[in-house]
Amino acid sequence: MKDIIAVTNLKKTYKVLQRRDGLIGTFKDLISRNYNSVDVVDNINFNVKRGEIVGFLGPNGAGKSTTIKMLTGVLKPTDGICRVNDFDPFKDRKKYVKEIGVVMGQRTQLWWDLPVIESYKLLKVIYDISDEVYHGNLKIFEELLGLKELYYKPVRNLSLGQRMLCDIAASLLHDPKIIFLDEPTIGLDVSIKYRIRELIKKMNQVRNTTIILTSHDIGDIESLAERIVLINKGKLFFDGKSDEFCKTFSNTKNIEFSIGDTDDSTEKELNEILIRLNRKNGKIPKLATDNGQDYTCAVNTEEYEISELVEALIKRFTIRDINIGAVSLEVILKQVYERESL
Amino acid sequence: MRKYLYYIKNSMLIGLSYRVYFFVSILTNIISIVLYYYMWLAVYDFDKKKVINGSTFSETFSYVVIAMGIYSFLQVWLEWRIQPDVISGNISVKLIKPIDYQFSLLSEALGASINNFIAITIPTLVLVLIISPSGIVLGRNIFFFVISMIFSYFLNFCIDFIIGLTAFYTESIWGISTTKEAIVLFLSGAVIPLYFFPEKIRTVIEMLPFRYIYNVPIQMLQNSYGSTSQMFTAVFMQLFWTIVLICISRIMYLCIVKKLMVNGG
Repeated sequence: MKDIIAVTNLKKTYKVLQRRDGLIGTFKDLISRNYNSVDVVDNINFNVKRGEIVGFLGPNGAGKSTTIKMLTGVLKPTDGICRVNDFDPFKDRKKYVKEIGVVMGQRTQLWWDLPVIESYKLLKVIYDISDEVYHGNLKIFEELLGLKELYYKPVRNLSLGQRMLCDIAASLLHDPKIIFLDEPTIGLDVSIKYRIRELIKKMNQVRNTTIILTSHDIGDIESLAERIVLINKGKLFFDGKSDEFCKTFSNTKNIEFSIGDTDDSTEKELNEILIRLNRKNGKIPKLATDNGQDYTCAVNTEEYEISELVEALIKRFTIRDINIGAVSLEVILKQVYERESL
Repeated sequence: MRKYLYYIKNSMLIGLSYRVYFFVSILTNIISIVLYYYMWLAVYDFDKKKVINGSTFSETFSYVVIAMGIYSFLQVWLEWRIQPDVISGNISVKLIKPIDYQFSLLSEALGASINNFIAITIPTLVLVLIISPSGIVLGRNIFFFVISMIFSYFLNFCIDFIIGLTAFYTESIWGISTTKEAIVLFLSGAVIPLYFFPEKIRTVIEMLPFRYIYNVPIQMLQNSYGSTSQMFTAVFMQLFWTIVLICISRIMYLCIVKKLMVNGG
């Protein structure tokens, strides 16, 4: 399959005014100004194949939006090349924008005072959508999202979730080859989130739409993206399958167990076991419990042999239930973000 | 082209969806007409036969009322539509759509203007015809009036557009917008007919583009120009200023978009 997005050594540098403090400093600023250059996006490389769903992750201020702006052609890269759908997004903007859809979570492209359908009619003309495609897509939206009853309501009367559904539908109306979703589920309830995910999945399956998704909602990423691209401080941090990400960045296993015969010294003994089995004299993991019976503990696999630990537990206690699992993407992301000290 | 017709249509629909605004603006206009009537009557010492600066009361009064009608047609608060887009950098996001921002704004403005034209301007002009029939001359001049109205629309649009864009440098346009409003209305002869101005000031005003927005179309409607060739000259000057201002606004727009695209929103 051919790459629909190819980003090579993409770089964006902003000039930022370095303000001096105090009254005298402010006066100095009026006369001479110091500018600092900041690399918001620094030598990023990645490729996306047609039909892929990519979760674009990174902490706040990592350069996600800047990258998306460059990919959509509204921001000029300082250096490097990005080719999207065989266009240079910035140079061929006018032709290029016809084939993409963009949803910015906090902004709406609908006409605030008019019924939703009027915005759709306008989009139909703007993008030269044929009747067939237009009605076909409206039908999908009706079936999947139950949008029909919203068509005739003015946008200002819609709830945030309803508006977001309509907004995403609007950006899919012209069958874009690629769609950029910047925080599409921000502030929405579970049911609306679910419907949005269903819609994205469906469009990906039916039309083979390539989807670039940024979100801080791990649920979105887990349920949609097979692949994640993580950037941090403008640099590419990880690019690959999401379970690979978990393997690479987490040597932590989550152990949940429940003890049948507890007494006052249970917790002390448990801690002793943890200290005894720690092979590198590393940090002793914290035990968490609500009722003194059910414990959870996240242990590092470099410091502990899981089988040894389980054996020790079973030998000493009557274990009613034990559960060993990988920690969730959310926890790993948190660890990565924190480790990189942001 | 068809997409911009849809912009006009949608903008008209918005105007119609605000019923109260619609009726209140008609009411406001009626009140203003009554005010102007008595104000100018006082200027004429309550003597309708008196002639000041070569014009009778009925000519002056109809001039002012026509100016008001045209004002309703032209005024769509365009700079206030642009300002938030420019300040928040939304303007660059709007470029993600395959449309021209300036042109789509023009279409939106036209939609609102068409509403006002039907609801306010036409009734106002009809009212002038009824109250002082000598105020509007129906003849060949109507053709020139329509042409000059088109140019004055573009002139006014460009000025508003430029003012809206200055938000990029100043972050707020309230002061600039109000100042512009006062200058345009005053120097274009929309508030006080230009023949009331002293000779020297009038020479200066002749050289500025503003009078082509109000004064020229009204003069066309009142048939104050002596000959057809004078009307042609006036229209030609309008064309000249329109081209100049379209160029300025376009260059300014492209510069700002370029800056936004390099520096970020």
